[in-house]
Parts: sequence; C-alpha cells; structure tokens
Amino acid sequence: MKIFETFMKIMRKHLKLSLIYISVFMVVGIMMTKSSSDSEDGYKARRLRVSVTDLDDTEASRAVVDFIAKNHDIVKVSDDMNKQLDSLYYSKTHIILTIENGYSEKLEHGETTGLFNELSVPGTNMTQLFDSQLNRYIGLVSATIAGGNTPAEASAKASEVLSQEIETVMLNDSGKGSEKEDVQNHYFLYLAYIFISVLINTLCQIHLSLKNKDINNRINCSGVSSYSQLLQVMLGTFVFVIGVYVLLIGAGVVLFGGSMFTEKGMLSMLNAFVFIIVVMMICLFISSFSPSMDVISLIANVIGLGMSFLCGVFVPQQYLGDVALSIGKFLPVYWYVKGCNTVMEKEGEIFSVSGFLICIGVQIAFAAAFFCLTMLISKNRRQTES
Amino acid sequence: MFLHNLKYELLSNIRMKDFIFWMMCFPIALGTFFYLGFGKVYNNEIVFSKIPVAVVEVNEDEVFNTTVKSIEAEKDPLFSFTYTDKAEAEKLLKEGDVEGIITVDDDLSLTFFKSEIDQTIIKSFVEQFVSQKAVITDIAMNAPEKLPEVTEKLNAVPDAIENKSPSGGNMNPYDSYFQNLLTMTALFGMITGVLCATRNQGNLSAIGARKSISPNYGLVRLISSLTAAFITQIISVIAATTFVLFILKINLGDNIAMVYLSGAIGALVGISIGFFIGAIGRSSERTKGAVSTTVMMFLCFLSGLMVGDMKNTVEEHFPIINRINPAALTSNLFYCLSLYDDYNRYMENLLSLMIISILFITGGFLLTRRKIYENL
Amino acid sequence: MSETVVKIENLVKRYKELVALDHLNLEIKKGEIFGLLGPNGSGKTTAINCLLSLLSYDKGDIEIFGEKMTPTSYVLKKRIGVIMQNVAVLEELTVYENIDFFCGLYVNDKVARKKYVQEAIEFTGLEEFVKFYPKKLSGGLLRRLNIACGIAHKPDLIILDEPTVAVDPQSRNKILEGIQKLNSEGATVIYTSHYMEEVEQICTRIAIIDKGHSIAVGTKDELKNMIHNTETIKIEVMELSDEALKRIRELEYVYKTTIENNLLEVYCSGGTHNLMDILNILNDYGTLLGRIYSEQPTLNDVFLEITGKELRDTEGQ
Repeated sequence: MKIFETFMKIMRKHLKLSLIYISVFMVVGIMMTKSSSDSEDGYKARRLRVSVTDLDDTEASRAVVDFIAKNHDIVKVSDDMNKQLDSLYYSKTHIILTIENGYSEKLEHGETTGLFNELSVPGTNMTQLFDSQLNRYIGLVSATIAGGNTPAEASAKASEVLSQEIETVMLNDSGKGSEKEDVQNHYFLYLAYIFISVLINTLCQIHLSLKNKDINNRINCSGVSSYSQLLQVMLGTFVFVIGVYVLLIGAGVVLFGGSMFTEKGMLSMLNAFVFIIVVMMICLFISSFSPSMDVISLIANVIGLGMSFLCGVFVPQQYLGDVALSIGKFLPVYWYVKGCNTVMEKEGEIFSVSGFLICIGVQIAFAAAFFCLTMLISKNRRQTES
Repeated sequence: MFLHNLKYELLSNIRMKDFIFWMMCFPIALGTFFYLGFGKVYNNEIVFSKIPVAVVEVNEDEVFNTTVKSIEAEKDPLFSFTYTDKAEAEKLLKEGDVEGIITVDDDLSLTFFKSEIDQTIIKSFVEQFVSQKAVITDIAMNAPEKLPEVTEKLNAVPDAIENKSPSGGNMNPYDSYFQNLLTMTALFGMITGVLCATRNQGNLSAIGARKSISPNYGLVRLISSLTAAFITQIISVIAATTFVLFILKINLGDNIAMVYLSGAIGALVGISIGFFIGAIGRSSERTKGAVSTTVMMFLCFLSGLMVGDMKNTVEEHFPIINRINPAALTSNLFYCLSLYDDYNRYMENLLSLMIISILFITGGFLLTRRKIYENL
Repeated sequence: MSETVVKIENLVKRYKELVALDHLNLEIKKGEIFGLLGPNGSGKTTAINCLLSLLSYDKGDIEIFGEKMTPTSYVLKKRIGVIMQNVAVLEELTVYENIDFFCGLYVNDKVARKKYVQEAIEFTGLEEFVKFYPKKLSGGLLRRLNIACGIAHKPDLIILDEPTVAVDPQSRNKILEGIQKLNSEGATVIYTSHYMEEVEQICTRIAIIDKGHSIAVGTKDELKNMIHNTETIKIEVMELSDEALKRIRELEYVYKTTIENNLLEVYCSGGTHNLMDILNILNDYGTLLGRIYSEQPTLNDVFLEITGKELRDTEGQ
C-alpha cells in the first residue's frame, strides 16, 4: 500500500488549495441555485419598472396607462436621452414607453401601427413579455372599436376581458413542493459543472505530482505490479472523490434539509454519485496525458463549461439546438442531466425506473470507457518511453 | 535592455505551446458550443414540436371547436387535440402523452401536471381564445353586422410598438454569453501576469534571482515583462474575437475596432491583477496561478458567464459589485458596443478598468520594489 | 600584496532563532580561486547571497572591488558573474537563446554579445547542443549551460555555488578545468563546495566554514600545517608483541597509536622517516606484516581536528 500512502501524503499537501477550489465552487453553486429560484418565480409574476409618457392624453391613452399600471410599476425618468439610457443600463427602468400623439385617433381609424415608441434593452425576455402583452391589448381594443365602440369604451372592455383569470388546476399534489424541487434540481444540475471543475483542478494536480518522472520511474522499478499501482492510485483518488462528494452533497442537505432524503432526493444523490465517478475517470484520463500545471485550469474550463453548456446544465435541454443535443448524447453530462430531470420529472421528462436506469447505465459505460482508455494510454506511454 | 528582455520574454511566452494551444482552444471550443447550444434560440427558429393537448367537453362550445378545427387545418399546427373523457385525459396527462387538459364548460379551465414552457404556451392560447371570444360575443350581441371586420382585426397581429433603441436594437439575450466568453479569454491574462511577478523576483524563483543580480533597473525589467505578457495575451484575444465575429458571425456591434480594443483592455486588466496576485507573499507559482484562476472564474461567474441573468441579479442587490468587478466591466464594454452608439457608458467602464489596472500594477510594483530579501 | 576583490567583515545573518552567519570575515584577493568549504547548512550559500545583495543581513560590511555592495550597485554587478546552486534557465528558450538572454542583461552591444555567447558556448563545450531546449539536456549538460549563462559576459569576479552537485565525473572534470582556465584568463573565482577533493584540487586559497563562522583560512598546505597530525601510518600486523608496541610509542614524532583487529594505526606529527622507523622496529621483532598505508592529512582531518566532527558525514545529499 506504499503508493496509496504516497498518494495520501501528496493529497494532504494539496488539501489547502483543493479546499479553496471546493469552497469557491460551492459558493458559486449556491449562488446559482439561489439566482435560478429568483428568476424562476420572477418570470411568472414579474412586475417591470415602466416609465410612460402620454403625449396623446385622451381617455383611451389614459386607459392604456391604467392597464400597464395594473401589471407593472410605473416609474418616472427624466426626458434626457442620456439619462434614460443610464437608467436602462443600470436596470432602474426596464421599459421607457411613449404613447404617441394621435393614439386615440389612429385607433379610431383602425390603424394599429406606430402607436407607441419604446426604448428598452432589446431582445430580453422582459421586453418580449411586455411587447406581446401590449400588442394583445391593442388587438382587442382595435377589434372592439371595429365592432362600433369608441376608443374609450373599447379600452375599458379590453381591460376587463384581459383581467379574466383562467382557472388552472395542478394535478400534481405537491404544488408548492414542486417549486422547491425545482430549486433542488437546479442544485443537482450545477453539481455537474462543479464536480468537473473541482476535480480536474485538484485531482489532476495530485496525479501530476505523483507522475513526476522520477517518482514514477522509481515506482515502476519497484516490485509493485502496474495493475496494483493503478488500483492503489484509484483507491486514493476514490477517497478524495468521496470527500468532495460528501462536502457538496452536505451543502445540499444544509440547503434543502429533509427533501434530500425523500425518494427523489436519494435517487438524485445516487445519480450524482455515479456521475462523480465518471468525472473521476475523466480526470485519470486527462492526467494520463501529463499536461502541464498551467494548462490544467484551461482544460477544466473548456471541459467544464463546454459540456455544461452543450448538455443543458446552465440552459435547459429544451432550449438547446438539435445539433447541440445530438452532440450532447455522446457526452456523459447529458445523461447525468437527463437523469436529474427524470428523477424530478422536470423539462418534460417523466419518471420511470427503466428511463432512470438507462441514464445511470450510460454513465457507467462512460466511466468504463474512460477507464479502458486510460489503461491503454498509460500502457502505450510506458512502452514508448522505455 | 528593455527590448532585449521583451524579445526573449515574448519568445518564451509564445513557446509555451500547450498553454497557447489551450488558450486558443478555450474560446474557440466554448464559442462553438455556445453557438451550437443556442443556435435554435439564437436565430429565432424555435420550432416547438406539436404540443399534445386533451380536450374534455362538459358543455359543447361551438366557437372553441371551430378554433380547434382551424388550428388543426394549419400547415404547421402548434397543438394536436384529443377529445376524450376526464378519466382518460388525466391518465394521458400523468403518463406524459398530453401536456395539458382543456376542460370546456361554461368557462374554459386548465389542468396541468407540470409547469413548464409547453404549459405556458397552452395557457396563453386559452387566454387569448377566452378574451377574443368575449369580444366576439359582445359584438355579436350589439352589432352582429360588424363581426367579419372584428374577426379580421382579431386575427391581425398588431405592430403597435416602434423601437427607438439607439443602435437599432440588434441585441440578443444570448449575445451576453459571447461577450462574457471574450471577457474570460482576456482575463486569462492573469496567468501570464502571475508569471511576470514570480519570474522577476529574486525570492520567488531561481530565474528571478539571476535577473535580480544583473545590473539593470528592476522596474524596466518588470515593465518589459508585463509588455510581453500583454502582447501575448492580446494575440489570444484577437484570435478569439476574430473567431466570434467572423466565423460564428455573432453581432457585437458595428464598431469592430472598438470591439478589439475592448478585448485588449480586458487583457490589460487581467495581467495587472495576475501580476498583483503573483507579487503577494511567497507561495509557489502554482498556488498563485490556482488562486488567480479561481478569482477570475468567480468574477466571470458574477458577470454572468454561466448564468446569463447573474449580472442583473447582482445589479439589483449589490450594484457596487458591478461597478468594480473587472469581468463585469469588461463584458460591459462589449455590451455597450452592441447596444449604444454613444460612448458615454463605454468610457465610464473604460475609465474604471484603466483605474483598476493602474492600481493593481502600482500595487504589484510596490510589492516587488524591494530588491533585497529577508529570506530566499 | 595584490588588490583585494572581496572583503567581508563581521557579517551576521539571522533567520529568526537560527544564526546562519556568525561574524563571518573573508578577504579575497585578485587572481585567486577562493574555496568556501563547509558541510551543508554551514552558511556558504547564505554568505554568497548576502555578498550579492540578494539577501539582507543584520550586521557587517561587504565591499567588492573596494566599493560597498548594494542592490543598486549596477557598476559592480556588471563585473560579477554568478552560477547559482539551482539551475536557472528558461525552459522555453534554446541553449543559445538562454545564453544570449542572460548575457544581454549585462552586455548591450549586439556584436560584442554575439562573440561572447559564442565563446561561452565553446568554453562549456555546448557547440552541438545550441539548438536544444533545456528539457532535452542531461544533468551535466544542464549544469554546463547554467555556467555558460553566468560567465558569458566575461566577469572579473565569478561566484560558483556548488556547481558540481549531481554532475557526472566527466562533466565535473570539464567544469573544474574550465574554472581554472577562467582564472588563468584573469578572473577571480569564489567557489563553494562540500566536496573537499574538488576544493583541494583547484583552489588557491580556502576558507573552512562551520556554523556561519570561518574557522580557518589559508592555502591547503597552510591549513594542513595548522593541525598536529602530519602523517597517519596504518599497518596490518599478524601479531604484535607489547614490547614492539611500546617501542613504537616511544618514537620521537609519534603521538598516538591504536591497534584493533590486527590493524595498527600510528599518528605522527612531524619527522620525515616515521614509516622507516616503525618498520625497523617491527622487523626487529620478526612481526609478519600485511598491507602498509601512509596517509597525508586531508582537509577532512583539518575539519575534524578543529570542529571535532567529520566533514564527510554530512555529505549525504
């Protein structure tokens, strides 16, 4: 067990640095989870800060202002263009809307273009939401006017019609719990990125210290068979990996408490465990190429961020392009994410034991494949070097 | 002396082959991944596959049925409807064969199992239907002769809003990912910055010791090392920017020269921070490198590299962080270029970045100024 | 008396509790190969680093070429060449580029530099390796490169800190010859080592250092003369009568004898015929003899006699 002991010794030397990595990434994970829960419920009933300038000042135009005020907060912004840009830039205002002169008249003549002038940050969800709301309102108003009403009457009717609530029943008994599960699922998704970044940055450093040429040659000359060498290194690696796993899952327990230990929680934890083993194998694989120390953080970034984006860690799989998804299927992270979503029944996944087992199975297959590749490469390397 | 040192520093930077390789690889790979990942959203080509919906009729609704038929007759219908009874519908819903149930009674009501995009689409369809129906019912009662005109109005999509965004509003929410990617590429200069400090200081490396005993002004030597690091980093940033602009054809605003300038400023900030970190304390080059990449990663996280919304969240709660976080400031440079055509805010950010660079470089100089050490 | 190149007076350096240099005094003359001999941890490298103004010191004065040495004494620094204990070369530069780089820190004139670099390459015998990267060089070649980087600018004072650690005998001889050649071309050399054979071989004057203190200075003969012992005679004897032993002990220059496992050791101080005298006595008693050795005192004996401990014992690393 000499090599195992050496591994532990080297690990202890790297412990401080590893803990820095782990704690920073833990903070990142928690912050991401927190912000995802913010934006999630924010999307549903988000009140934007809207500034409205009414140049028309008719009954109809005032009705528009009322309609906007019902759904959003009205704020005041200076007329100065530069100040307006500033307030948009620093998110003090989301939409700066001007109701053009002649709003009411145009509507009466059945015209619906150019009623408003809007200054906003284009292309954001908030802007799109607001624009479609306003357009729908105008659609109804103009239809009602076409039906023989005055703009003022039509505005009142449209407002009333739009305020009708559609009764929505959630068959899912745990309506509130579902939101919490959402957040918990996000945490597990982000774990994919965190596992990859933390393990590559720390484990590969330890492996490289161990693979230092002189030590490596000395080990090779000793009576320890290469098989036993690998096993001992794997054992040491495994101990480290378990440590990382326990720390990060522990943080999850602190965050989510009991819901980590429900059936769903346990399955998520199992999924995460299988995944961290895959990452461990990836690290062994990377180390077998003996990259230089400076490069490791770059590799961690390329692999960690790259896979996370391609496989739906940061952006839901539903949103991803087909090309990305079909590439993703050849990456282990995809199956981890799918596993998470299957357990929590998110993103259109429905839980089934077989579906979950497929995700786990594919991940195990990846782990095995990386293991074999590592064996192959280290064997080749040793031969070519001697 | 300055040029001599610069020449060899550059040469040895450029020869760090695997570093350069991964340095180039990082933005290219990640940029491609972003492009592939967001491609669908990016080109506004989200084609939702048909959303299956179950319809349970308690009371028949003529108008609703007509609408359903007209939707099904469309070339690319958004929904596929299944008429069935309540029990069967709920079974379908639980098994995931339909995404929602529309119950048609006096009023329409919805039943969901999940709460996601498909459900949002179903809900907005029903909302629209209900409000339009209300309008039609109203008109049918008061002025039935005007119905065709009203229906026509309802079907038209009004275009009531004109945008007056200064640069024509060519911003896309996913642009920010590319802006952050370029920012991170530039900030990777921190790693080379660390080397500038450790390789010039007598108590941090043997090479530093050898340089320290040569008959040269330390400041001149440091400045030439920093210049070399800056040039090296700029090469990477230029390559990355070119790739994003001309291969992926991401729109980063009309003023391309300024886009490149923004990257260069980012590189400068990265190197100055790295240099400062490298100059603190006596830990090994590796520890300092690790610390600086962690710092960089965290700064980039706060500016929204991983979760695009992060910068806004920070702005809501701790706006001061966005004013001083070099990653946020750098990505704001790109952001300003693709959003505004006046450069007020660009200049504000630029000024902040210059101040940060000067502070860190001066700090680094002060820390490395002493040439005689207590310990070696 | 020739010009003094380096003068160190009462140099004291403390690392917290540990006193690394304890009132060290050294004076090195022009044209010398001055050896600093001492076990590991005796303060040799610390002394060199203080001399170079890399390391601060608590007390004392350092003068080089008659001027006080400070971190900004650029004129002085130009005249010094240093070969550090650790190989300090840039991994990403070739042999030629490395030498040119470090030489360029001293010599601005490009034409002159080109010549200097070429000479340094020839001097260290690296002609075949100019395009090699340091990674591809063997330990000995790497040391030679390290030396070339330090001496290419033709310094008047060359300081070598353990340049032969972990070097194969061939490279070691080449390095030692090189040092002598540099010296013959006019450079003053300071050479630190814990290998006394090397120091004995090339140094014209030697200071023995222990615990940060110079315990003896002189040429190797002067040093050896400082001690009592001049000759140690060892003889394998089959059996030795007490009377014979007594007579040997009574010899004029003998001050100590031991016999253990049939090996007779006789320590002499002075006298020229000691071996003959002993053999005559043994012959008188018809003693059967095995091998006979007569040993001159080494610097180790000097060190042993002054400090009471072996220099060799600490050679381990």
